[in-house]
Amino acid sequence: MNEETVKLLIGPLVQAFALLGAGICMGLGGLGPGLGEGYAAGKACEAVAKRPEEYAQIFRTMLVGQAVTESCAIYALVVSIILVFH
Amino acid sequence: MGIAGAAALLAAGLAMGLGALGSGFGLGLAAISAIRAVERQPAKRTILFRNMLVGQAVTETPAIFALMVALLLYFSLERALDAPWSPARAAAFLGAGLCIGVGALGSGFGSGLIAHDALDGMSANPSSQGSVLLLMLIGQAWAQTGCIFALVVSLFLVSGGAPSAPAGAEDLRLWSLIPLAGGEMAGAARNLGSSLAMGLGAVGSSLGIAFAGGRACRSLAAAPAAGARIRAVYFIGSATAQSPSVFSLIVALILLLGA
Repeated sequence: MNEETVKLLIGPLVQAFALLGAGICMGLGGLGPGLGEGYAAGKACEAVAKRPEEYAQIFRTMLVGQAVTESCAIYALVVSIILVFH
Repeated sequence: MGIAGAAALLAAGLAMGLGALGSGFGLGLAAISAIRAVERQPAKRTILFRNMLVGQAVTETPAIFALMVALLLYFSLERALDAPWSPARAAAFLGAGLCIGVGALGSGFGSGLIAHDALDGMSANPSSQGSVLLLMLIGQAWAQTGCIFALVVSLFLVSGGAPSAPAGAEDLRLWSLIPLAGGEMAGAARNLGSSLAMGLGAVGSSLGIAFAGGRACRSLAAAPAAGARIRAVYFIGSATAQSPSVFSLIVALILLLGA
């Protein structure tokens, strides 16, 4: 390819890779938190079955833990939106 | 047939292969715990067998979604004929197959996991059979939402995908042979990106919700008195685990509908 061809291609290529990157970012960024939050919810159910009287404490701990886990998905969302609209 | 037709055939195979992998494994998981349950409670074998069939019927649905998309892809071969070299359309077909395949993998395996845990719980405490069955069905339906999001994105993609940008470097050729179709690159990236975002995002949420559902069924069977509290923890916990797949759906739709 000559230099002119390369220059014509660079713009669309950069745009295309940004869009593809946005998709991969949100896909992988959503996979981890989804798995982790579900695992936490399952373990919280087991804990409530074992000690129903500690329900409030378990519920609060689960929610705080999930909120922290959720932040990863939010980072991925922010980065992919930046990539789409850059 | 060109690149789009080839992509449609590859995608049909991927969709059905991945979808059958997840649902098949899940169906087997349900059968394993049903065998164990009948061994433990021979007197309850009729009702345990019925519950296994109910659980398996729901576990089967992601594979049926994958089959539907695979057939749609196969029958869209004719549409691939009128644009033999179209990277955007090829990416749309490939993305449709990947999206529903990966989504069905997670939901199929997850639904089977819930049926597995629910049948284990029922055999440990047969008197809780009714409430565990109800929770199992709710959990399975919930684990399937990821697959349904993936189905929505797949149907978008099969029907054409993102609008292609106006032709840019259309006449450029690589090694004076392969047309590069610069204007279509963004469209192809949008199609493939939205499919990866939704497919992978759906797997995580489905498996997470399924794990929570399975544990909730086991816990409900072990402690029926704490049923209301277990359900509350399970519903709130799963709703939170669902949110990453909703983010994925938002990003996939932004990519598909064009910004």
